[in-house]
Amino acid sequence: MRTESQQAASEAGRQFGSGAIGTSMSLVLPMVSAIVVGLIWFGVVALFDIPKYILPSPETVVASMFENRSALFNEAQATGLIAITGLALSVAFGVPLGFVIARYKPLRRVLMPPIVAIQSIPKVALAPLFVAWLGFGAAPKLIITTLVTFFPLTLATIVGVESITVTTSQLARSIGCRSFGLVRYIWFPSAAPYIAAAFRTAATLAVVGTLVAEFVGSAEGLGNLLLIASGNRDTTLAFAAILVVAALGMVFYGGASLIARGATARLGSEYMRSKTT
Amino acid sequence: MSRQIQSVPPDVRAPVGVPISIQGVGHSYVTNEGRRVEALKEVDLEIAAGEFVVFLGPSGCGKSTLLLTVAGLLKPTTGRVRLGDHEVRRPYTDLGIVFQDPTLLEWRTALRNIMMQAEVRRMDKEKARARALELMESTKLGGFEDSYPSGLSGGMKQRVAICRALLHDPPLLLMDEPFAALDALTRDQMGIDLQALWLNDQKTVIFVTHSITEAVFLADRIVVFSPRPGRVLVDLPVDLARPRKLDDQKTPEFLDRVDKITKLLRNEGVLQE
Repeated sequence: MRTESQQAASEAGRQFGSGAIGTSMSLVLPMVSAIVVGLIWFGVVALFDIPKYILPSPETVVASMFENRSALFNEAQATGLIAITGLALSVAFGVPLGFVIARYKPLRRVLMPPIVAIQSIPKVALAPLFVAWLGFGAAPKLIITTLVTFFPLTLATIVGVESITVTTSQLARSIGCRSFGLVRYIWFPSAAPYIAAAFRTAATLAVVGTLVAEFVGSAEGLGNLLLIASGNRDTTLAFAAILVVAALGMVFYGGASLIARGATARLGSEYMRSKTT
Repeated sequence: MSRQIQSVPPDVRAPVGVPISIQGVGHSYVTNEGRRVEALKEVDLEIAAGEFVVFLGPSGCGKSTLLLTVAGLLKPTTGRVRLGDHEVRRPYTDLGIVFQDPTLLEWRTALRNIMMQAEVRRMDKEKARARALELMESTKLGGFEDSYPSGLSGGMKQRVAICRALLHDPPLLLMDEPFAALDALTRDQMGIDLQALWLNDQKTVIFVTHSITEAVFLADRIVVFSPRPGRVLVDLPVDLARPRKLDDQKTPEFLDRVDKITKLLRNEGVLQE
């Protein structure tokens, strides 16, 4: 049975077009904006007769993408793999860290200053050090990617746990929740909307982090390809690589949204939306 | 996950409350400026099994503090609490607790909020579910099993909270101003319904309120607290016949008790005219 307010809410949803029209528009609108950007780009290059090594026209970039499709695909795969692994490490490390910091208040004073300090150092500055210490392999890239992405997850977890009211904690304790029960029944569900939002942010940051690491020390990946293309003054290939990076970022964002939705399906989409937008 | 408390199936345990012994329980704390503030003077109270006791007093008199101490959720500065032959040292789990804020988990439906009790206590799922549905039916929540808290009225949320507190059929029910946030009509109805629930199996109940009428309507016994630092002003039995009806609130016996408490609090500087 539905209550009046639920009915009112779903009617409001219908009015503002979350139905079939909304779904098809959500596909059409991004395509329209992509086409508009392409047209402006094309127009500017043609109108001002800009040389190819400064700004290649969109159709030559697309042609270059097609020509170098296997290289771009392979490099994208290499970048994607590091980014996914780094993101997974971030979740595995950042979320529990948030729970621990939220649970043991004094730890906050101990751990937060170094965490914030690391956060404020540009990772580009750290990347050469990790390469010097760990070599050209996956390790320095994974560390950079994890460093770039864990902070929003940790912070979101802390905020989520701190949103729990005193009476909720008291209720949980009088029911008999202890340690893992508390995390399972109260902490995780309370923090989930915040963590899900941070996870989407972290997913796009993961691509950026991996790219930064590849700039500094890598024999593969889109970052490396971008570096080579720039070195060869192949602006067209550089643009092609940049477009692939952008596409990879979008795939990561979309994928993260799907994963977050799947992992929290039991909590109800209305609740997940109620805390963040 | 650590093994939770051993819960006796509801149908095995005899439906009687637990006696409570509050022995010299006092609360004081030190402020940031280093001043020692007494919130609750040492209180001694003996509550019999199955008694419906109301703690009545102005805000900040320490009545909620005392309730949380009985639940083992607050550690007293002095004294101790015994529930039956058990001394309370940590959160006591063989009880049901209802706060002013319904404290429902937003991500769970009404039924699953109640069933949370069963999940944590590892009760038999099917039996617990049957009891939850029965409780919902008897508290007029039938049909709202799958509603989320955001879709329920204040009174309904509090009913869900009461069902959750009763699911495991605890011998003790603690209620901390449970109806204070509800409108007057809902509040009267909740009082009537609570009385009916309690008459069913006579658990020991501690009910905290600052409404004198509500106290006289519900209680077997009213413990009136002074303003801060709280101390027991009077321990007043209410021997009016049950089930009490709303109209009983107009009888001389009822009004006499309300009057008595009002005068008492007025002498303490509460309710100045």
